[in-house]
Amino acid sequence: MLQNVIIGQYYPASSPLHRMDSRSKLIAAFFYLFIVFLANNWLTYGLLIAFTFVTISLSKVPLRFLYKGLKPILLLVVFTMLLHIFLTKEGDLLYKAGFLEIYEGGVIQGIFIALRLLLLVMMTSLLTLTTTPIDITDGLEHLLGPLKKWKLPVHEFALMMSISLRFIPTLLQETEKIMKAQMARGADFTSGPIKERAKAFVPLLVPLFVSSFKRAEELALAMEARGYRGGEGRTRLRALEWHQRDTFALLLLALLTLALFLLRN
Amino acid sequence: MENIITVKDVTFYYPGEETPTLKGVTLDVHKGEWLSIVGHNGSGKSTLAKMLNGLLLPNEGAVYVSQYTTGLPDDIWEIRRLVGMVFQNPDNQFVGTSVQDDIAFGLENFGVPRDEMVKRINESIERVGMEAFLNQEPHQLSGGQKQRVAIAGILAQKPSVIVLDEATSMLDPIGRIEVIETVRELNEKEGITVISITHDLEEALSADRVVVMKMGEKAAEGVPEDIFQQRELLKSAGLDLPFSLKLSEALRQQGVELDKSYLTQEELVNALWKLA
Repeated sequence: MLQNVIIGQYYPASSPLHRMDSRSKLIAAFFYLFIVFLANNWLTYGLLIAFTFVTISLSKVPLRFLYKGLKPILLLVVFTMLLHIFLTKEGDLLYKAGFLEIYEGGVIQGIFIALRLLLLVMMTSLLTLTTTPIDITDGLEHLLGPLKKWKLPVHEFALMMSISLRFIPTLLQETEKIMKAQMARGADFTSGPIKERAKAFVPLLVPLFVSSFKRAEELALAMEARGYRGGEGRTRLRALEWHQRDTFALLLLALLTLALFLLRN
Repeated sequence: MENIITVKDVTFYYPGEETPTLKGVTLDVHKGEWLSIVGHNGSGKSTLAKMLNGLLLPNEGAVYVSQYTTGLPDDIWEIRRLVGMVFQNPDNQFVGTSVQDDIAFGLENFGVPRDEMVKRINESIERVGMEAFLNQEPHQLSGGQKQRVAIAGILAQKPSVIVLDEATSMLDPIGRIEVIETVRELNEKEGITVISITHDLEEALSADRVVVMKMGEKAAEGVPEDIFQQRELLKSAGLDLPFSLKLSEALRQQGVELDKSYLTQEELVNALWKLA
């Protein structure tokens, strides 16, 4: 059951978006978080929607994968939309039933907020769908590199991330092994009241924790034996390559920002 | 013969312990040889292994590697480059997210430029016969394959010595043969010194020299033929005799006329079918 777990949500494909440098994608996604808030009328939202969907179709990621990423927040989107519809009292009164009043401004505001949330989540999902976790880590390490001056452990953070990523499958395999061992001795993980089931996980988690600490200690020793002494003077095998398409993508985003500024109210 | 590692009168205590784990151990490792260090759990063999690349430093005495000394902070990184170490658990020494990332880890630590790194990765992966697995992730590999990747990672650092610290004890028989054969080829063809730490006497049979550790002391040292004749010593060191040796002894006790006790299965079989 556990071998089906995919780490992150990377969707392997060959698209212009997949080939982009992880740094430019990170910058773009981060920038997008801000410019979404510039939109405040139908025209600007239309522009953002068009831009987002063109990007999605460029990525070759099937829509159902995006939908998977959206599912957990759909409830939140609907809730905020309703909140705005019922609580904003602007424009013409559209409907009235008892204390319930719905105004035109509320409906528009509700739709805008929902759109904003959906666009945000779609773009950030697109980042993780087209970039492997290790590439994101590398990109972050490079982008945050200047913060080393202020003694921020950027290299250590990135190494921790990549080691965690490397050990996820190993720990999953181990969990499965321990689970089977406990099941062979009569443990039941799948039935009974929720409290009982939670209790059944204790004998699973304790050995997992103990072995993780042992692994960590051994790994540290092995790293030391191979000459690890922190980030100072280290070279790197994974090279990030900034291409013309990365510059182009960021320019396009700048253009979009300019258009949003010109077209907003 | 030229020594690559010299262990001189080393005594070592783990912090907070009264009895020393190593007591006055002196040992020469010759260039290009295959040395097996055998002993029971707690004999100090693994501690001795960690002395050889400065993971542990002696309380008394000194360890010299080539012209370097493990106790000197200036020498330690060159020693770690020269003396590569393969540990017991294949999973817990795999740092990279893929085979090539893992081989690169050591090179990155030593600041090797990227172009040179790629060259050395391709070269060392070929020497362990894993070139088809360059982009595989660790969980897709068997234990023996992971250990070969670990060896490739060491080879890329251009080492003089490979220390196998119980490196085959967690592997299945096929993985064990895979790893031993890989290392044997490196030892024979490229003259890399091999120090194998093990409690498995079968593995020590094919060594050039064997050192027996017992209670933190060196109990015996010599060629396998001599060491394996000293049955009482091996038994007192808590070691199990190799199968062919035990069998030849049992046969002799039953009155089968064998000239001596044979170390390897092949020798024993040859002696048996020649019996009248």
